[in-house]
Amino acid sequence: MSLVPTLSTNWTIRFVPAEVWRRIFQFIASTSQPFDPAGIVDIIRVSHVCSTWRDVANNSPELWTNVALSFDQEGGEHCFPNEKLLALILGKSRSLPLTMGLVSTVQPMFRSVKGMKAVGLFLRTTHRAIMLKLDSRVLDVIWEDTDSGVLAKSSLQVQPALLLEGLVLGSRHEANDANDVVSELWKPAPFMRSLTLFDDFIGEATYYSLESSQFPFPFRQLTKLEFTCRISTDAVKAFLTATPSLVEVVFDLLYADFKNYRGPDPTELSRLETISIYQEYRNGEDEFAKFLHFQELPFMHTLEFIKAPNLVTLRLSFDCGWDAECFQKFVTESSRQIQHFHFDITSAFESVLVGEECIELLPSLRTLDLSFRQVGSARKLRKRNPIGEEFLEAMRHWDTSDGRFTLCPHLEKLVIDYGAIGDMNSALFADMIRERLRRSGEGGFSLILKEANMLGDTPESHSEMIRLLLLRKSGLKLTIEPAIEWMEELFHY
Amino acid sequence: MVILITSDNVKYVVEKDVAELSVLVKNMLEDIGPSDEPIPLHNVTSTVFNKVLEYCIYHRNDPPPSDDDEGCASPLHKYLASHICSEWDQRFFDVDQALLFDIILAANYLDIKTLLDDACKAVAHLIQGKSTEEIRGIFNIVNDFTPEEEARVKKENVSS
Repeated sequence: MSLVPTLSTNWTIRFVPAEVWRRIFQFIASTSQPFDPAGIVDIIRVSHVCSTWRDVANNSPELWTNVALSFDQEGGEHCFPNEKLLALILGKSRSLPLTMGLVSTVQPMFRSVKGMKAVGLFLRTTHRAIMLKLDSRVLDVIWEDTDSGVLAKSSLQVQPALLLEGLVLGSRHEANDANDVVSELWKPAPFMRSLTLFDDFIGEATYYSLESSQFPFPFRQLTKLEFTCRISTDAVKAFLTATPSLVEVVFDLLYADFKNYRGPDPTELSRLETISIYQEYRNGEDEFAKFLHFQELPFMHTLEFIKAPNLVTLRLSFDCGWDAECFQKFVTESSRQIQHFHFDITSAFESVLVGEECIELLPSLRTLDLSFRQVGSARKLRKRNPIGEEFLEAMRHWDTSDGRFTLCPHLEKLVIDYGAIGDMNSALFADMIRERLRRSGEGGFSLILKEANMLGDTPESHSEMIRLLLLRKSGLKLTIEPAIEWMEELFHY
Repeated sequence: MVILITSDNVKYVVEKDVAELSVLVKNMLEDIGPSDEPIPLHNVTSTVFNKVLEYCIYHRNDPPPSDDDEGCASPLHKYLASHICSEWDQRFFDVDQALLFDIILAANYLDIKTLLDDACKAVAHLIQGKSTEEIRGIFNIVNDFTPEEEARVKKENVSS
C-alpha cells in the first residue's frame, strides 16, 4: 500500500524542488498574452505566498519580463503598475530583454504625476525591449500634459531600442512633437523587422508622421507589416512603396477617398511571400472613416495594390466581396506558384472554390485550408453554404490522360472544419481522402479536421469519422481538433 | 520488454519504447546493456507509477518535445504552448492535489519532460488568477515571512 497519497498535500509540497516551482511559475507567467499585465500580477501574488516561493520567484528574472503599463481603470487616471512597483518589476527582471506594452482600454487622463512618472520610467527602459507596444492615445495625452506643466518634457526621454525586433504602434493621424520623442526608439533599431499598426484608421498622414519625424522610421529594414485596423488606399501605397524588403503583409479593411481615388497603382514586392487579408469582427459604425469621407472598398481590391511574383502563401478571410476578375488578375500578374492557400470567404464558397476562377488557377497548391476564422453572423452563413458533393467530386477526380488529379495535383495537406462538410454521411469525404492518400507521394497526405466537437451522436456520423481514423493505419496523417476522446482511445491502443 | 520495480516492490513489464520516455530509465538501460535485470524505481510507488504509465502509453507516439520554450521562443509561442493541453490530459490531471504533486515528483525523478511540463501546467492553472490568500488556502501553505519580509511584501501590494 502506498503511503504518499494518504498524507497531506502540505507534506508532498515540501519535496517539490525549486526548479520545478520555477517551471510552474514560468507557465503562469506565460499564460497571459504579450502586453497584458495579468501575468505579472499572478507572479507578484506568487512571490507573496511564502519564503520558498518568494526566493524562487525573485531569483527567476525571466518571470518578470512581460512588462505592461496599463491604463484600464475608470477615468483612465490610474495606471498599473505604479512607478514603485514598475521599478521593482524591472529590477527583478535584472538585465533580460523585455516584452513591453504601454496600453489603455480607456482614454487616459494624465492629471496625476504618479501616472506620468510611471510612463516616464517605462519610456526610459525601452532600450531593453525586444517587443514593444505603444498606444498613441497614451502618448498624445501625456504630451498635452507636459505642455500644461504637469510634468517637464525633459522627464520624458525615450531610449533607443537597440534590441527591438517588433513594434506595435497605435496609429497617429497627424505629426506632432510627440512623434519626435517616440522616434528616438529607432535611433537606431538595427534588429527591428516587424511593424504592426492598430487603432481606428490609418491614413496617409500616419505614414508621413513616421517618415517625417526627427529620426525617420526605418521602413526599408521591415520584413513584416501588419495593419490590424482600417487603412486608406493612399496609406497602403505609401507604406508598401517604402518597404521593399517585405516578406509578409497583413491587411484589414481598405478605404478609399472617392473624391480623389484614381484606382489601384500596384507596388511590386519581389521578396513578398505571404499576404493575409483578414476581416476583424467589429461592432458599430465606422464613424472615423465617415468623418473623413472615406468609403469601404471590397476586400478583394486590396490585392490590386500588390504584385508579388514570389508569393507562396495567400490567406483570405472575409464574409463578402469575392471578385473573380480581381483574383484572376492578381494571380496572373503575381504568382501562379502559390503553395499555401487559406480560403474563408462565406459569399463565395463551394461553387467558386471549384470553378475555373479560384483554386484551378493555383496548380502548385500544397496546402488548402478551408477552416473558418470569422466570427458572428458570417459563421452562420457558412453553415448554410457548406462544402458538398461538387467540391468533393472535383477534388477526387483523377485525370487518367495526365496521370494526376485535375484539381490541386500537388496537394499534401487539407484543413477543414467538420461543420463545413455538408453531408458526412454520404461517404464522399472519406472516399476523396482515401483517393488522395492512395495516390500521394512519399510525403503522404495530411488532414486536419477542425470543429470535431460538432460531431453528432448518430452512428452514421461516427462511421465516417471511424473510416478516417482507419485510414491512419494506411498512413493518413490525421489530426482531429479537438480530439474526440473515446475515438482516439479506441484507435490508440 | 523492460522490467521495472517500484519502491513498494510491485513489478511492471513495460514495452521498451514506453519505458524509454523516461530519460532515467533510458540511461540505465544503456548503462547495463542487454539484460533481463529489473530496474528499481526507488522514489516512485506503484500508485503513482500506474498514473505515470498511463500517461506514457497514451503519449508514446507523440513527437519529441522541442526546446523552443526554453528561451528563444517568442512571447506568443510561449503563450500558446502554455495553453495547449488536450481533453485527455485535462481529465488525466483531474486528480487530488497530493497525487498531482506525486506525479510531478515522479516525472522529475524519472526525467519525463512532457509529463513534468503538463503536470506543472495543471498546477499553474490552479494558481492563476487567485489571490495570495486563496493560493495559501488551496495548497495549505503557511505564511512563514519574517516581520521584515512581510513589510516588504506589503509594499508590493498589486492593488495599489
